Amino acid sequence: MNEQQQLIVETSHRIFSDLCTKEVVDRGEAGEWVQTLWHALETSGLTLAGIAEDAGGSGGDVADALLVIRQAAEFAAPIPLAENFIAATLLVEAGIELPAGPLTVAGALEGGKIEFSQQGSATDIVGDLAPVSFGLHCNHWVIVAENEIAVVSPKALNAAPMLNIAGESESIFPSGTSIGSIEALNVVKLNGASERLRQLGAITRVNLMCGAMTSILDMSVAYALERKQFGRAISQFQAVQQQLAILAGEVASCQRAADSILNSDAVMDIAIAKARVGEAVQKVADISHQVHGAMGYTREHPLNLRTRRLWVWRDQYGKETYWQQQLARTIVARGADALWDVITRAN
Amino acid sequence: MFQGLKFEPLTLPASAEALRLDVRAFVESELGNDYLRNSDFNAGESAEFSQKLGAKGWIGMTWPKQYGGAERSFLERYVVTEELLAAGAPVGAHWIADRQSGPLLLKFGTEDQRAAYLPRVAKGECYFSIGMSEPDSGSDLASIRTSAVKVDGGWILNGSKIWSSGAHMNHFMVALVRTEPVTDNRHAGLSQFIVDLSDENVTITGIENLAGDRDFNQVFFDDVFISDDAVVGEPGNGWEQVISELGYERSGPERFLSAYRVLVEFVREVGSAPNDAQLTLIGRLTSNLITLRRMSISVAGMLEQGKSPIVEAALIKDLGNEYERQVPELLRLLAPEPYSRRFAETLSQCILHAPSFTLRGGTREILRGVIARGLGLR
Ligand SMILES: Cc1cc2nc3c(=O)[nH]c(=O)nc-3n(C[C@H](O)[C@H](O)[C@H](O)COP(=O)(O)OP(=O)(O)OC[C@H]3O[C@@H](n4cnc5c(N)ncnc54)[C@H](O)[C@@H]3O)c2cc1C
Repeated sequence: MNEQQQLIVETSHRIFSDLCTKEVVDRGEAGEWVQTLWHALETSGLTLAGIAEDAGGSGGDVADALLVIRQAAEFAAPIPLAENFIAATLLVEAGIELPAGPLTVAGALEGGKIEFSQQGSATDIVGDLAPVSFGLHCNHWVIVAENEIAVVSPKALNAAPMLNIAGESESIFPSGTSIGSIEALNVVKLNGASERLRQLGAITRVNLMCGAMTSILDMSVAYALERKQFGRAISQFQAVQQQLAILAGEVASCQRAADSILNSDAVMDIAIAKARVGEAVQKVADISHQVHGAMGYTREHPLNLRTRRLWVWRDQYGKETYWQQQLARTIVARGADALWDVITRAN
Repeated sequence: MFQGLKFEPLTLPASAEALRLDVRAFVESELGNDYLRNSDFNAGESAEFSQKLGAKGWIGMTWPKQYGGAERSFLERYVVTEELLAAGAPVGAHWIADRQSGPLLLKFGTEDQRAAYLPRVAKGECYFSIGMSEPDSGSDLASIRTSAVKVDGGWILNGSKIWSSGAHMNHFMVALVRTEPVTDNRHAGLSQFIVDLSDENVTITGIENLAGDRDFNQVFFDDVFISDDAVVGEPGNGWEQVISELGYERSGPERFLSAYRVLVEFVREVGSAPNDAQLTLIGRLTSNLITLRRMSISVAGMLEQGKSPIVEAALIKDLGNEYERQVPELLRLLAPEPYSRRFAETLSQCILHAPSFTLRGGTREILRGVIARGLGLR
């Protein structure tokens, strides 16, 4: 981490510790827009970290944005920080001016596609749109087709709100119908837009998961030291120690995998990271909940704010299987004798 | 509050990547196609091969030139070791001397010891065994009973070491022995001796492992005279020294590459038309392997900075060993049948050796204990 990043991490950490308490997360999960938190981040320039200054962002590297996103996940922040980053990045890449306020983004459902179809002066948005995270709270959505994007106001669309298991509001659409018809929509060409969305989506999910896992490990260790049974802290039981050691190994692996895409958007690195981190969720959730006992199974205890999010994030923008297969296709295409070369190039 | 274990990303320097190509070319020319490749560091040894590596300057690479080293970085050494393992080269003869006995002598040994042993090790001519375990002391290493009593000019050593890999082929053993009676501090009063394995009072008996190989041994000491100049470091300082070896012993690529050749042969077996399940598995095993490798390189970076990353090394070994244990088990389920001879052989050799992965160099449970201590749990 450079000095700039150190500062960003400290600033965002302070904002989240002050303004993203359990109570705030609960309100967010109840459907409320937690404006105070968003506002604090926005005025510190943290919502547009990693977005070029001349495009209206705060400047800095992509890594800056991802470090804030990790922090947000450590605190289970119920805000579209990752979505806003992806949307802004795509807009800048397409040369579209950034609208004010939180942005979200949506592309096609897994396996489907989105098309903009001109009907007179209006544009029909057709296809199966993936659930739009925080759609309810964002005045502008970036809709992503294969090679085009457009900014739309959700008011003109036929969305229905829903809550996913992370407690994040999502907007969904009945399948097979027009998503909406919009007058004079500005559809802008962006080659490989849907692929780019998938990559940015995976990069942000990896960092979100990494942040949540970091806090889950801390919570689990702290709980083990504090919870007493049989007259002593459960941390003194070897069975508990060994489980936490496994947890620490998973979390360290995920941090290392996530670090490798702070400054690289090579598809290979994204694939490795999303596959590895997604795979770890099972053990991380399993062990952390086991150590926390029944208390960790309550809504009241903050552990579930993180684990429920992990269960959502691991599925978004390509599950492990998708990315494992992507990675494997590169390997198989080069053949057994080149496997080592593939591995050692992934520096 | 616990701050987490940090594995700082580290990109190998260009010098290391250039070296990689040299090693690759060398290995290709040395090992013919009919050579059975097994990436377990313990699986094959060849004095001739070790000497050729020594001539290349690839043993004791990080050591000062005056002791036969090449003054290269730990990262360069890392590249050499991983290339050799991945290629399934027979590195067993010099492995321990290069990895830990040499660095131990460099750090704690006397000037005479360094001058006497290190240049020969670096030439690939002088091999060492690790003498830690005893019949009644495995994980609980501090409980060892092999002991020495002081006599004029040296020590008289009695007792025995067990599971000593390669002792029947190696020249010396660094043995951890008790040199003072046990006190409340179990870690005090231990010392490390350089034992000449050709001494007539040393008896070496082979022990066949379940794969049918003779690799490890029991080594008996019967009034072996150890002269004062064969004591490593200060008498009584043995525990601290033995612990310092662990950063080297546990963090290297040999802790996750032992099953690597099975993965290579699996990729060969499925060819250009794998099904989705096979693709998924290849991707899963490779994403894990690449992540482990990156972490292990981070630790090589810590070693380069002179740090002593004991907990990080334990973590890599534990994760890496779990991974190695899984590789053959998962691949066998999805390998297309009938197996080629090549795949069948690689797989069965790996399955036979796999139980040792999570034992040698510290068991899974002991490693997790080290990690738990690092977490502040004990
Ligand atoms: C292939 C191979 C090569 C080896 N080469 C060498 C060598 O060159 N030199 C050398 O000195 N040694 C060598 N060893 C020995 C190795 O270091 C020991 O096997 C290891 O330290 C474990 O000791 P042990 O086998 O006596 O098992 P034990 O210590 O008896 O352990 C048996 C089981 O009990 C568990 N256990 C023990 N204590 C605890 C505890 N406190 N908490 C929880 N579980 C516990 C262990 O994890 C293990 O599962 C080698 C071993 C193998 C398999």
